[in-house]
Amino acid sequence: MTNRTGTASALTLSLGLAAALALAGTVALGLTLPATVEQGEYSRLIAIHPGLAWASYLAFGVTAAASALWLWPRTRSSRWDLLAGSSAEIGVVFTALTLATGSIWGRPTWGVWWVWDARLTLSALMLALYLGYLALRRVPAPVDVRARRSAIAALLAVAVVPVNHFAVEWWRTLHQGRSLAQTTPGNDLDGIFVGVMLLGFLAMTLVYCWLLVHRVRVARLEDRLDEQSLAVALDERRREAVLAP
Amino acid sequence: MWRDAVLVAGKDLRIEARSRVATNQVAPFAVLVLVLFAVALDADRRVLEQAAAGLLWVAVLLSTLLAVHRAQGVESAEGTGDALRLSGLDPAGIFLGKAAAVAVQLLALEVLLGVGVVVLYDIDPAGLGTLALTAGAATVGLAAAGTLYGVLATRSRVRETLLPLLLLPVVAPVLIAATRASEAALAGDPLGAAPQWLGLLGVFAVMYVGFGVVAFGPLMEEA
Amino acid sequence: MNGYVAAGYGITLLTLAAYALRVVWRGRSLSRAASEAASGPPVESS
Repeated sequence: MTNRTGTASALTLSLGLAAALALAGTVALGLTLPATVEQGEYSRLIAIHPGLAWASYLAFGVTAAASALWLWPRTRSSRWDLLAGSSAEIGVVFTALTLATGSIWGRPTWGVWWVWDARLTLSALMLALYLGYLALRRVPAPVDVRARRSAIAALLAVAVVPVNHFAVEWWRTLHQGRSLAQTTPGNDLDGIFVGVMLLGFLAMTLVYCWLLVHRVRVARLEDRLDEQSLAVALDERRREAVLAP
Repeated sequence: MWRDAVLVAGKDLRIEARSRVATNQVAPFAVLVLVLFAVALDADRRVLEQAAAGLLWVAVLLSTLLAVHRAQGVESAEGTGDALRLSGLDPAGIFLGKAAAVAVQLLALEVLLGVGVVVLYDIDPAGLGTLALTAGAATVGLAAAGTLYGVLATRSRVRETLLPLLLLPVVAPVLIAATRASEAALAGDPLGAAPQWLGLLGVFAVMYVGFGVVAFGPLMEEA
Repeated sequence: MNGYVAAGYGITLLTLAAYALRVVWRGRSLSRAASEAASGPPVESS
């Protein structure tokens, strides 16, 4: 296609098709999972929730790696900056969905929408961290200034995740006798559950990759248009200056 | 580097001493937060006693935001930031100096808030050694992270709203660890959990001082 | 089907679809704007 409109290509078409197929399979199999004794039908959420969580970790991992590649002088390229920002945005979507589906699962299982469980708290903190990162990226600045600033912020955010992990882990285990591990899914898994869960991982990974390719291309277009409009504006000013008496 | 740090810290502290913003505005604000917590919790002695450590550290966190705004605001006014950049001082030294100035103010504030908690919430001060260690480690971490994120968010028109969003999730582990360590100290540390939390605070402080020394230069150049 | 399960699947699929549509549409409108800006001088400074 010579007259391509949009950010699609052969790559995104095949990725998108694979993602759609895997997602459809996950939903179809997930909804027909047998009800378990402990959790009843709610165990069906296992097809999507762990996959979403995995995709969010993957997205933030990619952000950190891309930021490091930008900061390393030999591999510095604007593509890493765009990749880092795009991946973080998709990661925020996946983290929000992880929290939403976890909450929906927790309400009938634990009886409350939210439990101050270590993993939940950590996910919520990570969501806040990356919302801050995205807000920082939206601050108007020259492209390379924005890239340096956000690459450093991304690495700072990743560095604090293990500290956060230990803080919430110790906090919850020291202050709460009853461990939630007994009621989380994972203990009563048998073959079919593991299989569907893995399919969910695959589906969410494919969805992430497909979104990422599109999002990076959108980010590149955004930057190019910004530059163009700046050039046009400069050009107009120059012409005005020549015309002025 | 160290000489530059002392110079910058002295400069910032002298500015604060002369402008009296810290003593006339930040300190009353922090005490006001304590009073507001008591009002919100219906001045219930038992609840206040249980929550005292957490409320104290939330008040410290909010005051940290103000102190960091001040520390950056001093530089963005009248181009002194450019002067600082052109002064040839070591960026790592500037970072350490600014963080040290913030840390000194925070420590003074924590002493004030500690007295406030004892008086207003009727807390029996116990485990003063552990409390002092907690305050020291937490303050170094808060000041370092605050100064670093302060320069990250500076020169932006949305600084006032951007800084809390960036800084608060990062210092969440400091809030958790400092609160638990203080609670343990006040309770006489029956579980022996305080050293664990102090270790976490120490790791955080060392991490962010290290990041600041490395990253402050590149961040300041572009700002 | 159970309401909670339906809500979990629904919210996931709807959010992903909405986000994907937003990204793709934005890509279309931006690339249209980019090709207009590239081919000849802009008629209006819009």
